[in-house]
Amino acid sequence: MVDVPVFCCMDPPCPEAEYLLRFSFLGEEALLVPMGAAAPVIGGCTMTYHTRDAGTGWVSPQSVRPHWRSRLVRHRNRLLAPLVLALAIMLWAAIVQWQDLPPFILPAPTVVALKFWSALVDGTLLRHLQVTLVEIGLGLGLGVSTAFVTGYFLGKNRALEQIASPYIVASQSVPIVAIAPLLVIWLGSGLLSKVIVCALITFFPALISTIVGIRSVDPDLHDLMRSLRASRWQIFAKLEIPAALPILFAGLKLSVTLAVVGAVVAEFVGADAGLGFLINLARGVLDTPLMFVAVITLVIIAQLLYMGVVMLESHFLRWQRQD
Amino acid sequence: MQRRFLFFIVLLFAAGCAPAALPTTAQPTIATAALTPIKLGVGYIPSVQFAPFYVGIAKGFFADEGIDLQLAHGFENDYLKLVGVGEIPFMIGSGDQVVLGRGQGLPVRYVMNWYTQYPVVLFAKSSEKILQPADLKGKTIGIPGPFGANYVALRGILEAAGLSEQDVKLESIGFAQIAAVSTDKVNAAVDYAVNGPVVLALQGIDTTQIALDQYLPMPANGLVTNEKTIDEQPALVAKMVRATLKSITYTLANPDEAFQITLKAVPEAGGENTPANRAVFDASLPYWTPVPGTQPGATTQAAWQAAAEFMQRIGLVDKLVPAGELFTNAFLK
Repeated sequence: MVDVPVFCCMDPPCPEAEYLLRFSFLGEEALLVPMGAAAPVIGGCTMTYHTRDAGTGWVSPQSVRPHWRSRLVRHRNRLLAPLVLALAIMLWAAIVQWQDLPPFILPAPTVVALKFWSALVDGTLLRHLQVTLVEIGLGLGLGVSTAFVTGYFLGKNRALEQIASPYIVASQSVPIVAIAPLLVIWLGSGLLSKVIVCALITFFPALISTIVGIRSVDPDLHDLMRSLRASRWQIFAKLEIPAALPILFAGLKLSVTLAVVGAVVAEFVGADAGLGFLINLARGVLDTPLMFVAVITLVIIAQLLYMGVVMLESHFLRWQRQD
Repeated sequence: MQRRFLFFIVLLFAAGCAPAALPTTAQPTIATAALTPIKLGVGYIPSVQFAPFYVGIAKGFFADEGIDLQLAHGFENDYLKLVGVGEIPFMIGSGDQVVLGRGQGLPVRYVMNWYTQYPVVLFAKSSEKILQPADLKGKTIGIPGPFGANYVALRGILEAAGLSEQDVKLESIGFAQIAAVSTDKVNAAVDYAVNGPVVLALQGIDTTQIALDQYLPMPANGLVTNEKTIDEQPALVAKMVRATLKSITYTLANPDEAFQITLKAVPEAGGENTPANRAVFDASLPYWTPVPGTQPGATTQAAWQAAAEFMQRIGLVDKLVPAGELFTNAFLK
């Protein structure tokens, strides 16, 4: 048996068809790499190699400890993100310096950082942050749960969907900034109107993803479950939900970021507290750095919520990776 | 099916393009040859409350001074910043905003008074029996937010009775003051005198009002510019002041004609909305009328001193802004 290393790219994933890469800069000898050697990095791909019998096909993959360069390449995207952020902040500071902009037009990053710290220390930021988080949490919960239940039944029943969908689409066509003042008039400027606005804005993406997710379940699997005499609950819990989860999570990612928008819009219209209220207040007293603090905090909230959904997705869809 | 879909898309596209061919606001215009375009930042939306400017444009008062006046609608705070950095030369702003801006280092200055009374009042249904500031103790008061002219007026009225925010319950209700008062969600609310009370009166709801002016002489809405424009283009400032005063005088002398000109400029105020807007217009006239014995457009050092001290007392500015930096009557000759 002759060991013939065949290099296969791990990132992107290895194609099914085998192929042989020739490394002209290393010469033909490179094909005869000893077993256990560090995997080369070629063209941005971390290579591993398989051994195969020249005549009979694959024997087994030989995994090797990735070279430090290959690890760097694999994680390069994650390393670039903070670098891009740092460059953006430097550009921001440069613009302020170059144009000699006053703080009420565009405050420098250092001014915003100082304002952030003082708002954190005196409790202003946390107080308003708590209010907005409660609104987002309750609104998201209400919107997504209602969308899930509604979407399940609409997904299972096409006739019902055809009857209801024009009204659902029409309701979503009205911009939330137009509805929010009406809700404040009807429901008051307390928590309820904010929760309803958040729920309305998160409802539609979650609804659509639920309908699509439920309909994406393979009918053959339905037949299989029924042939095994599975109950409705078993079909729901063991087939429909797991099969629809990937699409449900896609809708949830959209909904969590929209929930932040909904809370801010509602607070703009009428509120006593919250980050949207803080933006209004800062605008009213010409405190642009405070506006930036509130906006940046909202961005961080949206990011954290999105990452939370991604982590949940990784956990609940780990069976996909194992397959 | 494809052709039908394509037709639908083309129809949508045509509908989207069509309004671009039509003017969005039917502002009265005259020939603008050799006129200097000047942007004036005014309130949120076109309204009969800007009647003198529509009259001035239509009658050529601004054109006679070589000005092609363009009204820009938006929030007062935003325009204060834009005037402060010289992006636009003029805006209509209230005295408290000028103090606030100057306190933040904005080089803005008030050059001409328009509203001779502070236009914000605290109003309540007559049944609430809120007749004076002391009656507000323990009541729920609706305001858009703890900032702006409404908040300043409220604090001034409370201070007149020796009350503070802790003695009342403040509720941020956005701009839903009329609904909040009419549905008894609040005992009282703060709004422009020509808005809330007028609209409720049209609905047959009587209100009582407490005006800030009775207790604190706060300079009200007027023409605001910046130091750079004053230094480099004093002739322009003088022309702007002259044309605006002429427009206000003409509007007061010819209210019917002025209202008709305004309806042409703000078509949405006409039709079935005419009676309500005429009521708002008529309610605005006393606020534009000069106080007998005073020079039209002028404000006093004493009023600005009181305003600056008040703004510092209620914490909206950190330091006392010198009254002399806030205004000038030099362009009223």
